[in-house]
Amino acid sequence: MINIPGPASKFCDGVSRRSFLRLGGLAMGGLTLPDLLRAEQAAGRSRSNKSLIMVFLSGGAPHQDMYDIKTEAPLEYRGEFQPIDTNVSGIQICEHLPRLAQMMDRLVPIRSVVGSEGRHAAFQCLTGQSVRSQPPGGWPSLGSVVSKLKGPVDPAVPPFVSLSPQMKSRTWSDPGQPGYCGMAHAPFTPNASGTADLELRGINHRTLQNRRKLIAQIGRLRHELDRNDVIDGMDTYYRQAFGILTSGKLMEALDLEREDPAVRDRYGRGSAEPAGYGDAGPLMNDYLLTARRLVEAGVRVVSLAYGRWDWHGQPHGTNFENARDHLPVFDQGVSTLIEDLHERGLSDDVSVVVWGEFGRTPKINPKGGRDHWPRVSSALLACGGIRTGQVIGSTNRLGEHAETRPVHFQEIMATLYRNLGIDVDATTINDLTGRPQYLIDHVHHGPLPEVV
Amino acid sequence: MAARILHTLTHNNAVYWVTFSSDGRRLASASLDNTIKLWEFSTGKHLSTLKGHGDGVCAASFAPDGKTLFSASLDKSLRVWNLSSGATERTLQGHQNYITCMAMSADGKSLASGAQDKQVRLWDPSTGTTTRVLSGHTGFVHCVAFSPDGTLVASGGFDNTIRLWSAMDGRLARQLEGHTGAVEGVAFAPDGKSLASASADGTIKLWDVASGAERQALQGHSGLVRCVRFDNSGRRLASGSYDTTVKIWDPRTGRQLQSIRGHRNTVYAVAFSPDDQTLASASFDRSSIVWSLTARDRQPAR
Repeated sequence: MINIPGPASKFCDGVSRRSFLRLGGLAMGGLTLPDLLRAEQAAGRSRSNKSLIMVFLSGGAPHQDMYDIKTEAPLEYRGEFQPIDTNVSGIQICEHLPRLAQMMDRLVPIRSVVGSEGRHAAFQCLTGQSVRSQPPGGWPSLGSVVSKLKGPVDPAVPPFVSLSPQMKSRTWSDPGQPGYCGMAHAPFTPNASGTADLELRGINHRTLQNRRKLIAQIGRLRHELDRNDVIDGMDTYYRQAFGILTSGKLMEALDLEREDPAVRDRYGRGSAEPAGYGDAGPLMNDYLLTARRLVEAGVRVVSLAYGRWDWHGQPHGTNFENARDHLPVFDQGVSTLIEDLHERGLSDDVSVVVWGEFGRTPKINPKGGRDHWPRVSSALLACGGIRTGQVIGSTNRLGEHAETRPVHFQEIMATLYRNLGIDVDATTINDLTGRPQYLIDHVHHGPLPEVV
Repeated sequence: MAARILHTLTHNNAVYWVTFSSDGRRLASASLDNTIKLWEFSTGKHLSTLKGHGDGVCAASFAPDGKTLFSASLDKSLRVWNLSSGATERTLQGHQNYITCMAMSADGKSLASGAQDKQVRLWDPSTGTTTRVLSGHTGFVHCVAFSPDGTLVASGGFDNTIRLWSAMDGRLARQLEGHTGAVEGVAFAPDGKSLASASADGTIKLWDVASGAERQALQGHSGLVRCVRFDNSGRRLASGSYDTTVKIWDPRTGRQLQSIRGHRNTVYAVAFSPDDQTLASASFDRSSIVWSLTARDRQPAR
């Protein structure tokens, strides 16, 4: 909570003694921003601009209906979609992903992801770990690790941001837990409940809809405070916190009204409403654009939940009806993000991973849906300087299990860490008992040799 | 052949149902976004949103006087809405699983609902009570319809059968078998003598109500047929399908008259306007489309 006090007995010119700016936690895991900054100050930091955008497909996307159409399976397994050629000879993906098909040379679909713990949760995608047998303090998410080891690129920009909204399912809306890295490395979550507490005098959170007006008012407020010598009374960390909030860099990155409308249209915009029935991540292609803006502004890791992929069938639509709803939007958003990163010269520095918590049952159920299938799932990698234009792994004829080159969640994590300049063989962070913990099981898993 | 689009009405999620008011001035659409939206037919303007159901809304009907609306939801309840205030007047409970369909008798005094608890229930909306529980389906119930005179209720479902029940005493009058897939939609002709059924087997069947005999099977959709509806004259039949098309048929000959493209996902419901000049369709693509069916609006497909 930041309280900006005014003079003892009278109102400042334009500023009252009452706190004018209350940020309910800035959704930094309950720590105030000044506390966060103090914690960051406690360790020296190196600076680099390698970054990651992680798109979490909440619910478990059907692996056999996206990158791995099982053309030789009977219809009750294969389903209703046809494969289409991509711009890489020999690779075919779902007919409802035509844009991604035309940029397969820039992608790496992994058809054989194994090791899922089978929970409806973002945890394993965010940490690479299981919730079972965690070390004291808990496994930190990749974003928190990067925050701790690398620090911010720019003091005005948090190193780890999650764009996931708050959902009823906390495990889906998990923005990334800091674990034993400490609360200082929790993500900034502008779309979660913290923004509901954002209040400026005369402005409430609804005004965030018009961010330009908000930034202008912050600017006037800052001018008033400077005039009244209020800032000088704050300690270093309040000043820094105030600087982050008012420097504009983060808020400008979040403010899509500053973006060319044609670019927003190209991404597809989308809706902040839950994507599927009940609880869900949004099909919000604007968040993919925001992620690009954030990494440009210096955020090292951006995570976001996207869509609802838990398609068990009627009466909430069949697997294929939901896929026809989600896949075109997904295709437009993800392909545009990757194109955009290439066009802006960011493709070597920014890694992209798109994945979910598990795959879906090979045999279509009587309600026209597919149920949970932790045995195998799929993932998509792009950018980050990896070797693209290839598929890794395969499943058997019915899509039941990895047949060639099973890829563990932690191999993908090791690859992402490596892209971010972190060597999982040599890097440890102490847990809360002081015991050094490797980031993953580095003895058995390392970066994917196929791509690095 | 294309039809001219008059309005595209959107929801935040799949649209499961669309219907006209009896005076044709308004439409109601029901959605997986848990709401019912009311629209002005002449302009396509959104009039209001009815919120309160806790899960997707699968069906809605305007009462004949236009002052009340009935709805059914996956939240296992039906609701009676006051359209002046937008408030729920009554909640009808009894089903033990997702309700998937609802129909209203022509006089507006009875409702029928079908659910994944395999039951068909008849209701008196004025009291909110169940008047009959019709048990017999061996699978989920997917569709219900009242005969025009209100004496019969037709239901269909995952057991591939259509059952005709007496609305008076709840007896099973007849069981129609022949579909090789789930029955997804049923509709009585305006004269009550014929019944149309839509099925996951990709066909529409026409049945003689009195004898239960299958008269015709209409083939033309390239996927599951999700819904079927006669127009008010009985001379045309509309259907909607997983293949995203709406088709218009001549029920006397079985000939396909029109195939209307525009939706991007399964068509879940079709409804003719009271004057039969307009058709509304509801789709999983999050929209309802209102189509003009007048002869001058029939254009060659582009």
